[in-house]
Amino acid sequence: MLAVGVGFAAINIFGGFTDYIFTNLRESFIYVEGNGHLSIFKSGAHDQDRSEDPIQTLLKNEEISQIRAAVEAQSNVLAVAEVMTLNGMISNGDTSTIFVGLARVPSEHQQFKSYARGLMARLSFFEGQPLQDELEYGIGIAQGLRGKLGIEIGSPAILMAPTVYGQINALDAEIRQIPDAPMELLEDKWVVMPLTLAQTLYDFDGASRINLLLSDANNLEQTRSNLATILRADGLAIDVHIWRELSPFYVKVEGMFRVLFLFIFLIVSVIIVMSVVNTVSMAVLERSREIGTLRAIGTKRHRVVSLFSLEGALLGISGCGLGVLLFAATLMILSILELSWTPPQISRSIPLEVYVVPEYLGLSMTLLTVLSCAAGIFPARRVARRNIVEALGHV
Amino acid sequence: MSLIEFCNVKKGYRLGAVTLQALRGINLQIGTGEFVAVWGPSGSGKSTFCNLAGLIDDCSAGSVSFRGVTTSTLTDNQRSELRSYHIGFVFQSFNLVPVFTALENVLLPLQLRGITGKKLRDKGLDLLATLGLETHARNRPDELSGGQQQRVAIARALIGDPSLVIADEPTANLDTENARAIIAIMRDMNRQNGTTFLFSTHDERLLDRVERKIHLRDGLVITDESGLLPP
Repeated sequence: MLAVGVGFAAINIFGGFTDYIFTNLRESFIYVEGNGHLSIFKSGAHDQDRSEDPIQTLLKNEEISQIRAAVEAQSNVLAVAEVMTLNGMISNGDTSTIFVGLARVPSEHQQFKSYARGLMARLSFFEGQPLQDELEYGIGIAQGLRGKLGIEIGSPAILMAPTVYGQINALDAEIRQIPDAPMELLEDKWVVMPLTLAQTLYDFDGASRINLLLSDANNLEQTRSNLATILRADGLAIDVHIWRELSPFYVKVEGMFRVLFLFIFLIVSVIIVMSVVNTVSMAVLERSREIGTLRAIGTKRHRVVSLFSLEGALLGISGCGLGVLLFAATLMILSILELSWTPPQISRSIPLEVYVVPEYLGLSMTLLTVLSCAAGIFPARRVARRNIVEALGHV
Repeated sequence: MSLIEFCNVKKGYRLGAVTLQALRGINLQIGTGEFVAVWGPSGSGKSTFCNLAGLIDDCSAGSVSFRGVTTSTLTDNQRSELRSYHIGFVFQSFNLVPVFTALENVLLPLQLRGITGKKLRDKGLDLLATLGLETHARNRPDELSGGQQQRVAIARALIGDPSLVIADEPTANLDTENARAIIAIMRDMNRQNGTTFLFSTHDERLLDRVERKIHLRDGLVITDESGLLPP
C-alpha cells in the first residue's frame, strides 16, 4: 500500500510540476509576451528573410485596417495587437552594439497581459516603468544590454536601423524599463519599444504581424482555418499561425517533459506491479489453507482469482488514498516553504509550485488501481490452479 | 442408487522417484442418510478416501461416482458446483476464516453462491443455536474453544443443506469430551435431516457411535461393518 501511495504521490507531484511548467510557459508566451493565440503574417513572411525585401514581408497600414475590421467582427476575439520585430544598433554615444527588438502598442500589450491568470498575472517581468503609448521614445533594454552599454533607467540612447528603403535612420530614445528577455541568448541584445518608434525607425507604417487573443482557445486549428478563409476572401495574402508554431521552445520543453513523465510513470508502474504481486503472493502463501477451504466448499477457480484481484484493487485504491494524503502534504510543505527557482531560459527567480491536475489524479488513480488489480491476478491464478488437497495442507 | 460409489479405486502419490499407493483398489457404496466412519491407523488411506468422496481429488485408477455421475468426466467448475450444492466439509483444523465471526463463517458457503439476506442470516443463527452457540455468533474463531470452532465448522458444512458431509478427522484436535460431543451432534444432524455423514478417525473409542464403520489398512478395506446402530 505504501508503494502504491508513494508511487501515486510521485506521479502527481511530477505531473503537477509538469503542468506548472507547461501552463506558465504557455501563459508567458501568449499573455505576458503578448503573442496571443493566433498571429497573422503577410503570406510567407514568417519563413522569409526580411532583409531581402522588407516591404514584402510587412503588413501595410491599409492591410492592417482590413484585418482588424475582419477579426474584430469575430465573437471569440478578445484583443488584437500589432507587433513589429526589428533589429539594428543601439548606442550610448560611446559604445554601440546590435539589438534585437520587439515593438508593440503598449496599451494593447497591457490588455493582453490583463488576461493572464495565476502566477503569470502576479509577477512583473520588468524593472522600472511600463512603456506608454504617449511616450513614443520610451524604450526598455534587457539586463545584459544595460550592462554592456553601462546605461541606467532614465538614460538616453540612440537607436539606428536601415529603413525599409535602405537608408540608415537614427532616433533618440530614453530607457524607461529593464525587461526580461524571452530567452537568455537575447539578454545582451533585447530591446522593447512602442510600435510608433519602430515605424519611424523603419520609415514604414505597418507591422510584422497581428496577434489575436481568443476567448476560446480549445479549437485553434478550426479558428485559424475559418479566419484565414475570411481574410483571404477579402483579397488579403496572409498566413495565420497558431502560437505553438511560433514557440518551438515550448514544443521542445513539452516533448521533453512528456517523455520524462512517461518514464517516471513506467518506473513507478513497474515498482507498484512488483510490490502488489509480492504482497498478494505473500497473502496467497499465508492463506493457502483458507483458499483450499474456499475451493473445497465449492468456490470456482475464477472466483478465487476474482477475490485476489479484488484484494489487489483494494490495495490499489487504499494506496491511492494514502497517495492523495502524501500529495496534499507535499503541496502544503511547498506552500509553507515558499521555494523559488530560476528555470532555464529565464533570468529571474520565480516561485516553485506544483499544480493539482484533476485529470492526472483521476487517470493515475484509475491506472494504478487497474494495475494493482491485474497484478493480483498472477499469483491468484497460480493458487487457484493448485490441487485443493495440497492447499488444505493434508495429503 | 447409492450416493457415492467407489469402483476399484486406486490412488498414488509421487514422492520424488517413488510412487506411494494410498488406496490400492477400493470397492464400496455409501447410501443416502448413512452415518459412516472410516477408521484405521495413520497412512491407511482414510484422508485420501475422504478427499475422493468429497470430489476434491482425482483417483489414479478406477472410478468414483457421486449421485450416479462419474466424477472423472466432470470439469473443475462442475465439480465445484457439485461440492457447493451437495457436499459440506468439516476439517481437522476447523479451517475457519479467522477475520470472520462465527455467523459469517457459517454463512460463507451460501454467500459464495450469491445467496444473502435476512432469511439466510436467521437460518445461520438457528443452526448455531441448534449447536449450542447462540451466544457466540459474533465471536471470531480465536475467541472460541476448539470444540466451539468445530461446531461452527459443522454449521458451515450444514448451512447449504448438503446431501453429504465429509469430516476428515473432525475430532483429532479435540479432547475426549468434545470429541464425543461433536460425533453426537453429527449423529443428531444425520437423524434429523437425513444428511449422509462420512468421517474419518483413528480413535476407536468413537466407533461405538456409528452405524457403519469401514476399516482401512494400507489402502485396502479390511472390514466394512454396517447396521451397528438402530436407525
